[in-house]
Amino acid sequence: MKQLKKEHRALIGVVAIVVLLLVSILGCSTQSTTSAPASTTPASTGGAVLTIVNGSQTVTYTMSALKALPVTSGWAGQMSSTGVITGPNQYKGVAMTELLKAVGGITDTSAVRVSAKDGYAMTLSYNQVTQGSGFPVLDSTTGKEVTATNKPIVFVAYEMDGKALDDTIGPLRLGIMTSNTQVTDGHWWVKWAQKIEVVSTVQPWTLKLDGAITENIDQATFESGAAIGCHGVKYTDADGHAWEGIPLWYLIGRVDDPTDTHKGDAFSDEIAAKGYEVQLIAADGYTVKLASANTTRNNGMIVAYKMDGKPLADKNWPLKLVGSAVTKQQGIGGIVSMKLVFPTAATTVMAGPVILNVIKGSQNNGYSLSGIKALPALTGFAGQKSKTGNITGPLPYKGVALTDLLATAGGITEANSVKITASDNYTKTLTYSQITKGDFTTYDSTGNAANAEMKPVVFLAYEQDGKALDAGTGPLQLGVMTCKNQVTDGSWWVKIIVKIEITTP
Amino acid sequence: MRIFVRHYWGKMLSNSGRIVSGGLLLVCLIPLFGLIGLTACGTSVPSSSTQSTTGKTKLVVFEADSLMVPFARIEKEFEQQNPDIDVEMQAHGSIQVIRQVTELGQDVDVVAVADFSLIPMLMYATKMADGKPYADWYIKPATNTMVLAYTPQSKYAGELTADNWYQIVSRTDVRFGLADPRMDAVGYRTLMTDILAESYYQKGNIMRDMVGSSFSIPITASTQNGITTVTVPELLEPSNNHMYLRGANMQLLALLESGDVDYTFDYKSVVLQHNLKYLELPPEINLGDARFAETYSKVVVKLDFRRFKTVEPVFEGLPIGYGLAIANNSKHQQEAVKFLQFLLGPTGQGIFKECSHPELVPPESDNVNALPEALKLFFH
Repeated sequence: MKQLKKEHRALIGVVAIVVLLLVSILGCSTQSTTSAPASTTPASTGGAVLTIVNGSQTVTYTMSALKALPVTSGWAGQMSSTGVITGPNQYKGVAMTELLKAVGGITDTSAVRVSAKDGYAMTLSYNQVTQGSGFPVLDSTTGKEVTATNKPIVFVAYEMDGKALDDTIGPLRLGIMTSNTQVTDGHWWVKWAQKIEVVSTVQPWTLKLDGAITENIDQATFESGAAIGCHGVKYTDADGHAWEGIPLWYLIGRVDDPTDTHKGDAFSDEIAAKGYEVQLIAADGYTVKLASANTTRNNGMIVAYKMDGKPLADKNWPLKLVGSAVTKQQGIGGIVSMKLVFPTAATTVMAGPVILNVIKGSQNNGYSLSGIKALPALTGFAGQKSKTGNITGPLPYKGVALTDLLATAGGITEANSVKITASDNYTKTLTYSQITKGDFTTYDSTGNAANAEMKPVVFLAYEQDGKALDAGTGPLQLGVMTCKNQVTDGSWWVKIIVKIEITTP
Repeated sequence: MRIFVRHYWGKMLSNSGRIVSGGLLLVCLIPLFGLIGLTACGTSVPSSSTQSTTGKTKLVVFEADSLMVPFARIEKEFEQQNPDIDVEMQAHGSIQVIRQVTELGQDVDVVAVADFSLIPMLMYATKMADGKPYADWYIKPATNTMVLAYTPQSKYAGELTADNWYQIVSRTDVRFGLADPRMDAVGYRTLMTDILAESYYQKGNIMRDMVGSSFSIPITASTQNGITTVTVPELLEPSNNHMYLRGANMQLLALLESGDVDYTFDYKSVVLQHNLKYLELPPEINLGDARFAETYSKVVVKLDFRRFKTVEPVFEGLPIGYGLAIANNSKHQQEAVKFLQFLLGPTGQGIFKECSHPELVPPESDNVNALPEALKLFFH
């Protein structure tokens, strides 16, 4: 609304009192008595004024047909973004819920989009349309938010204060009915309303699978595959939530080789054994990396699309990794793509599944445990001092020196550092000096710092006390070998390592 | 037709002590529109005549909401110096300001928007009946910065620092006010600031935790080739008590002042005009420092909601810059030029300064050669 000129103030001030009195009187007198028929407009004589669409269903209304529907009448007004309050005025029209009956109504997975002849559009939620919730209600005198005295009603108006809406806002206008002392945010109002569409709020999504080939799986295909009896599985977590989805390895099988995408058993054990990295990527770029050794035919890793029978919501939407074999850190939500990173150069292939990838640039060497054991063995004592000062060991270990392992990938230089990654994505980066010179603080058996009696050696343990490492630690553990009566900081030890990357900071 | 109009923000601004002319004007609005209601009987909204009832030349200026305070004073002082001109101001969201000219056929002489890029996007690209565009130059007279507004009563206000603000505001028991990014530039600029904060603080998911996951259909972000695109769904329905979504930032300031929300983002000038507390954000994320234009450009906000048919709802991260233009179909080119001269001159810029609205000195224009001669002087 337009601001006024100062020159008018004196005149207006005098007139104001009279006007307000008249307005007040008129308002009181019309509140309960307005029942005169609206004036005839061109639109009411036969032309379609409103179209309602729900999927393939389309219904059009002339003004006469609209007025034949059950009438909703009451007070409604609005406040603009700049704080200008208009109304409340007395309106007459048809409730949105009534209008939608002609096209089958709406469900809680639907919303309503209302468009005007000038291209302006507004979309209202199921809750707004059916419950009147979600509309801030404002006191029409102070403009302050207040509790609604009447449940707001979304309606399409054709009359205001007993007259047909004029062409500056009509013939139809979307509004929110409240009370004679309350208004709503003007953003929700749509003048010149001419079309109502029921639209789905279930956002379509696509899962991109990127491996030897690329495939985009749309929601329908995924859900079809997730049907129980197809590839679908269910999993109930510790909190009692029931998840539904597809085991991750089934999805891997669709793209792990270029030909066999979705036959009886598309998953290639042979390619998995050579080792690749499975990356699950969320919409915000967050990525969880898993070794093929952990994902191969692992039904404890499920890509879920439903929890407790409903599509996932909020940050888990549309897909989340769950299952008995999934750690808390691995339980990524919001998954939009999966990528397989294959070894790109000569691969060390030994019998057995790959448990460790050693990566330098484009080169990726996959090692089985027997491949690791084929390297020169290193034996000796190693132990740890925890953050709280507890000493573990030294214990007898057998493994391979990290320098020997790195040599198979061309070794490292002073410009390199080495990033160690565990199966839970915990990482630790070691410097050239630590790896080649044993540059670590050593402690005696009481935990006091002491000069190293032997140069500490970074190594990958696969045996302790003559036995293979247990499942919570191995098959490979990064450690620092010292001597029988010295230990190093436990922070340099990493359990269940699956990847070693030679990087250049 | 009975039209009953009040102006709540005008009252609020008056209370701030920053504006004196608006209060009396707005008080006058009530009886005036009552009068219109009785006499016009539903014929039309106020006319778009180019002559005011006092015989003065009427100059119509459509302004962005966030310019209401300085422009109210500029109007007053300009009219004092130019008694033959009657300035008529209308405030809207910036897109709506331009749309009134290009789509709704309003007789508007000057537009002033909070995002200069809207002028080439919407006025250059739209042609009048004679085939000419609605504008072919713009002037950037002022800037702004995004700040985090709060009050001493805001939850955890005592703990708030430049290093932890995003953690505090993301807490589920904090009530966060978001201007609807589908309707208000402050809203989409809030999302940009959040994404830029993720890079600046090296913390992922700031936008998700503060805003995105608080809706039944979440606001999401994805990064490709170094550009992060924030996607705002067509339907935004808060799903928890953390999120307070309102159509305009002005509504949120009212809720902040009443203690109904704890924090919201807004323009620094607006926050100062309301005497609210605020936290300055680093220039790398506050969208107010042209030196970081390259950084800002790494964020794009895309709306699935298409509010206006002709407006492609994709907003790129840019330093905040206000934009002025004279509509090519203005019937009062000379008066409009006078108004801009006044606005860009020492009095206008002084008013901006007094209203805590950062002016751009010197102002900038994308097409100085096309400016009216009297305005070119500001660019020499």
